[in-house]
Amino acid sequence: AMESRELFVLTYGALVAQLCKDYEKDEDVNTFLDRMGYGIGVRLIDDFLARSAVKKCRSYSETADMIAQVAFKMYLGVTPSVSCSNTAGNEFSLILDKNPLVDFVEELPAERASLCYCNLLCGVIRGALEMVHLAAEVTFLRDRLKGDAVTEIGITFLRKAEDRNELVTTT
Amino acid sequence: MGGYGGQWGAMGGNGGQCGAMGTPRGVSDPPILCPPPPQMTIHNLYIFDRAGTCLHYSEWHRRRQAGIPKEEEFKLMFGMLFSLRSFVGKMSPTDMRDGFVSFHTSKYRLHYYETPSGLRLVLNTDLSVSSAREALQHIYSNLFVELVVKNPLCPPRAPVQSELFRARLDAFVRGLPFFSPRPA
Repeated sequence: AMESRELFVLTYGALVAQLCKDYEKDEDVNTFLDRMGYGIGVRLIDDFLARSAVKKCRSYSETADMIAQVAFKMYLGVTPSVSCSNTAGNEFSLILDKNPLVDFVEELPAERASLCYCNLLCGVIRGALEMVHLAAEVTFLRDRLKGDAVTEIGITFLRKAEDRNELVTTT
Repeated sequence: MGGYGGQWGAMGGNGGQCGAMGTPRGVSDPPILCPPPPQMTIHNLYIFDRAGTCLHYSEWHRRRQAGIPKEEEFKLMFGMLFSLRSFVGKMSPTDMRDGFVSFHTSKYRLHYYETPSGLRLVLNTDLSVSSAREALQHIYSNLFVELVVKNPLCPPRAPVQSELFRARLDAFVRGLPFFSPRPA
């Protein structure tokens, strides 16, 4: 698993580098990464469900824990820490202590200061959640590559129309 | 996810469970001769996505058609399952766990398995099959996810064209202990 992970990280880096060649603006690269991630996420969810055999989560908090402790572990081999960042119970932040995707990246080049290098991850999470009837906004709130102290992904669960009676929000 | 073959062998279907209940056996009791397993049959399988598109349909021993075009049959099946699922949830007298799982008539049993991602698998068997949950889980995890979801050439929400999926699914179903090779 370790060998293929290195290949994956290098491939990801090559992908981002190519996108930087294709798009001048950082925002465009970020958008494209997110879109690609979304396409991956809508399929990855079935692989995740098949391999983890987990039951439906009953709260946003359970879902956030599932993403951090099971999904991140399964696919990237790391376990970000989870915390709820608002009293309404629908905003969460995942702090990545280690992020294998940036193993070979020291810092962003000066002309790419707004690049969200790992934005693919946001799309993946968003796409996967959508497939289990959870609409969410997922963004990088802080990024070590940009000089912040930690790398932090924010997940905001939006109200969804269907299957509301199966979800209990924790306050 | 391996080792399913051994698992099925050990289970052996309902017909293999002889003398399980009842009075405890003594040392001098005569050996139990298991009756031959009743004809266990698998009739057909439907796979729907969460929007109601029938992604796949296979038949093995279906003796009677519905008498309506296939498109209508799929819509009817999906609609019925959708209603049943929400009915079961609403009217359940206790806390729900898995929700709707199966129904049976005097002739066949319909088994239902739904993933959190909304994929629905429906298997019709004869009555001797009490639960097909593990088979349906296997079809989802090891066949559908591996051969369809992960295949970049298989567009999502479209009927599955993959011949490999069809062939592997057919082989798996025919290998089930409750699949009888000749139509009863």
